Amino acid sequence: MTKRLLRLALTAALFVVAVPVSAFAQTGTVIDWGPACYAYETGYNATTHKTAPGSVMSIVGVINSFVGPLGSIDPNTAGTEYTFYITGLTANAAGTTVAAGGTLSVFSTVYNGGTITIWQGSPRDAAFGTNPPNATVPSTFTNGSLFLSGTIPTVTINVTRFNSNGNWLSGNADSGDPANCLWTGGSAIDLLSPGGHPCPFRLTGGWDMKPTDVLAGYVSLFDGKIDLNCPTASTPSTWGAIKSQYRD
Amino acid sequence: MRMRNYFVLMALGLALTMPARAHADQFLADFRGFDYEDPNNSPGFGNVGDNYHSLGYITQVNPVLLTCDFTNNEYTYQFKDLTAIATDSAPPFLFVFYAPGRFRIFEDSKTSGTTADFGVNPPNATAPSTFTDGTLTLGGVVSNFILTLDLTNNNGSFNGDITFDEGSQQGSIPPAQLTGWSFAGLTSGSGTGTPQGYSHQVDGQIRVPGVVPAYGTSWGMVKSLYRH
Repeated sequence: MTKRLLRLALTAALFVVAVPVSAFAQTGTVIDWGPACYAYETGYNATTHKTAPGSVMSIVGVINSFVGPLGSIDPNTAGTEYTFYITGLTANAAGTTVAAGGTLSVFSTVYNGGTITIWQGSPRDAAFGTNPPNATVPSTFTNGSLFLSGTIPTVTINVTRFNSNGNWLSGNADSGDPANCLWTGGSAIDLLSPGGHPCPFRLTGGWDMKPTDVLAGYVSLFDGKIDLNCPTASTPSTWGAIKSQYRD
Repeated sequence: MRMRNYFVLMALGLALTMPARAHADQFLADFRGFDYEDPNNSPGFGNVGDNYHSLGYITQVNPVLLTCDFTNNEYTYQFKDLTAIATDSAPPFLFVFYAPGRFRIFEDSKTSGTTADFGVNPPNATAPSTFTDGTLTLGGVVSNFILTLDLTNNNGSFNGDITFDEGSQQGSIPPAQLTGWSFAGLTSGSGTGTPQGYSHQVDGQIRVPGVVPAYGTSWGMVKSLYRH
C-alpha cells in the first residue's frame, strides 16, 4: 500500500501537463487594401480565361488600413506609404480548371510557393504603370525599409464567369484555412509575434477581372487583406494542479 | 448674305465638345465587414427565401466623388434585404441569385455618435442599428446581385449593380455615374475574426462608370458625321 502510494505521488509530481492559458489570441484582419492593388502573371490567356501550368503570379499594392496589433500605425500619413509585393506564386500542374453550371462557371487556379514583402517608404511614389514588370513595378513597391516579410505556401483564385460570353462576374482569392502563411522578418514582426512566435496569417479578398477596372498588362484588381490567426499559448502544469481546480 | 455670314462665323468660332471613348470604371468606396442571413428559413447559407445582409466599415473613398472625414467620423455600410430567389450549382460551387435590395453608407460622429458594434447572432441590440445611425451619406437599389459560394471551403464572392437614389451626397456624384456596382470576396473559418452568428467576412468595393471626357471640335465636323 505504501509503495503504491509512493508510486502515485512520484507520478503526480513528474507528470507535466500543458494547460492553455489566456494569451494574445489575436484573430482577424490586421492589414487591408482596396483600389490600389493589381496582379500580373506570366502565363494567362485572356481569350480562354485560363492560366497555364507554371505561370508565375505577382501582386503589387498600397495598404490603406492597419488594424489590431498594427492599428497604431496610420498608412495614410502624409508623405509616407506602405506598399507590398507578392511574387513567386506558381500555377500548379493542372493550371486553371473549370466547374461548369447552367449559366455560370467557376475558373479555379491554385498557385504555390509565394512570398510577400511589405515596405514603409517615403515619398508616396508607388506607380503601377502598364505592362509590368516595368520601370516602376515592382521597384516603387519595394523601396524604403522592410516592414514585414513572409511566405505564402498556396493561394486559390476562383473566378465566376458567364457561360454566354465568358465575361467576368466575381472572384476571390484565398490562401486557405487554417492560416498557413508565415511571417519571416521585418521591423514590425514583433508586433505580430506574441511570446516571440510569429502568428500564421491568411491572405484573402475580392478578385476583379472586369476589363474596365484592370490596367493594361495586369490581369486583375485585388481588393484584399491579411488576417492573423494567433494560436493560444500553453504553460506547463501538473495533474495534481489540474485536479485541484475541480475539487469542491 | 447676312444669314450666310452668321453661319460662317458660327462655324469658325463655335467650339463644340464631343464625347470621347468611355474610360475605365472609377473607384467609389472600399468596405470590409461581415454578412449574415435574416430570416434564415432553411439550415445552411444561400437557400431560396433567405435574406442576405452585410454590415461593416467604409475604409476608403474616392475624394473626387465623396467627401468623408475619417478623423472625426465613422463610416459604415449596410447591404440589406436581398432575398434569394434562385440557385444554380457547379459543384463544389453554389450560385445564389437575389431579388433587389438596398445598399447604404452612413456617417456617424466619433465623439457624439455610437460606435459600430457587430455583437453576436444578428440582428441584435447593436446590429444593424449601430451601423445605420448618423447621416445617410449615400444609398441605392441593389439589383442583379449574385453570390458564388465554394461549399467545400465556405468562401466565395459576390457582384451586384447599385443605382444610387438617396443620401446627403447623392448630388455630388454626376448623374452619369449614379449607376454603379459592387464586388467582394467572402471568407470564413479560423483567423477571420467572424463574430458568432455571422457567416462570412466580406471585403470589397463600390465602383461607378468612369468620367467620359470631351474634346473640342467644330460644327462642320459634326455635320460631316451625318452627311450621306
